[in-house]
Amino acid sequence: MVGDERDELIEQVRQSLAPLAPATPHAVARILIAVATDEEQRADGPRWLTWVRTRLRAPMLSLGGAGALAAMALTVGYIGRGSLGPASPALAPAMAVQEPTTGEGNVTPGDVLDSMAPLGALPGQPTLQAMTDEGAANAPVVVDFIFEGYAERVSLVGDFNSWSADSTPMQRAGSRNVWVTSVQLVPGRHVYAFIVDGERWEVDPTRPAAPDADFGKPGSVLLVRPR
Amino acid sequence: MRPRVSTWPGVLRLMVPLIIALMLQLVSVHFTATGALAQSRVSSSVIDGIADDRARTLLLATVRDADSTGVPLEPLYSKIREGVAKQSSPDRIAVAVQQLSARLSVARDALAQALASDEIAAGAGALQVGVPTSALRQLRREWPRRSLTVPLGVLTELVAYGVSETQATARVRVLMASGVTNAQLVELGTQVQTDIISGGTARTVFEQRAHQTMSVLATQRQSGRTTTATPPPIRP
Repeated sequence: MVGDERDELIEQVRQSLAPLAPATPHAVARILIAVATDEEQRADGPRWLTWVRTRLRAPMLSLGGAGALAAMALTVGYIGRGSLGPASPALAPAMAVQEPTTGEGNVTPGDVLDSMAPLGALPGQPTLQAMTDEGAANAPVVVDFIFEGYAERVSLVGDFNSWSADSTPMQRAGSRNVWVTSVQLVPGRHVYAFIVDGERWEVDPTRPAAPDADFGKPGSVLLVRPR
Repeated sequence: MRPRVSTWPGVLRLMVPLIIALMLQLVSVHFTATGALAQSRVSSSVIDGIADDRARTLLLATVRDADSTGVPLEPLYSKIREGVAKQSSPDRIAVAVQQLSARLSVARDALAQALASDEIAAGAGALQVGVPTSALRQLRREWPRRSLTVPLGVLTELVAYGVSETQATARVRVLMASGVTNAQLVELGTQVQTDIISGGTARTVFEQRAHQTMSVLATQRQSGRTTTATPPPIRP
């Protein structure tokens, strides 16, 4: 009896594992992209350090941040001096300006929704609700690009990176001739191509062609769907 | 225990935070100035990359003209870089940028109150494939608050794939009035692309797919499901 039950269990496990599809190059590439992204994030250091770096890269935010630190330094100075009185009204607007409620740095879709949801919930503000919908609809979407073919180096160029051959180099996925990269794109129509070994122009054979009336060199077209 | 006596005079203690504040301000000014400088350098470096003097002069004039009339410059720089990446001749790049500047200007005027330069660029793309200016105006009039970037992108793709601009514009407008979401529009565009690549006729497959999308929207309305699209405009 016990032996039969075990056999049934083994049979169930065997059947559940049997229909697993064989790994395709695209599936392998996607896993490698995920691993590479994870490693990059770890190499970047702790999250707080990334946050500080991001803020320092944005000039306007650094100005606000410096102002905030200056105001804090002044306050600490007064405390140290033992003469902390009521807050100076002149400092209040400065503090208000520092709040990065609409920061333009590395804003994630989640950040957009988080920052706008309370505003949208205010009564009598239908336009803000509409803005929340627009914000969600226009939130960037991560798109994986894969190029298959022999190459020493491959770059992704397109309207999303101003056709810069240096902006988006692709990474070799394992030892095979598969090159991958991930890019955040806003929903809509995008045209792109691959530059192989710094000079060869290659379209994506898996996507429709985008005719080019200006330069006569078609690219590939991608319609990015909002989340 | 001896009481701790500070050796710092009171004035110096007050000065330290002020000095720190001043240094921080100087650092912030440095970052701001560096950012502004980098931005202007990027702009000029794009044009400086063009070897031909005549084309470079023409490009500079085009960009300055666009700047003075409020046309977004980033699409123009992007077009220059595209031409360079495609190894086109300087003359051809200059002509392409001039033409794009003209389209951007028309699109900007047609899409009055454009929400972003992306939208103007999408309008210019639609004009390039043959969507009439009146269609852009009509869409903006009907959808003053909705970003038209995605609808215009889909429209461009449909017309580029052989659907007539009249048919594509009319259907997209009806779909938008019926509450189609941007995601559904993109889905429609992608399906039409796939069908045409598989051998279908542009006009036929577009009609079929548009009807399917309308059916989905009707079903959603009947079942009371709301879409995330901006509600259709109220007409007098």
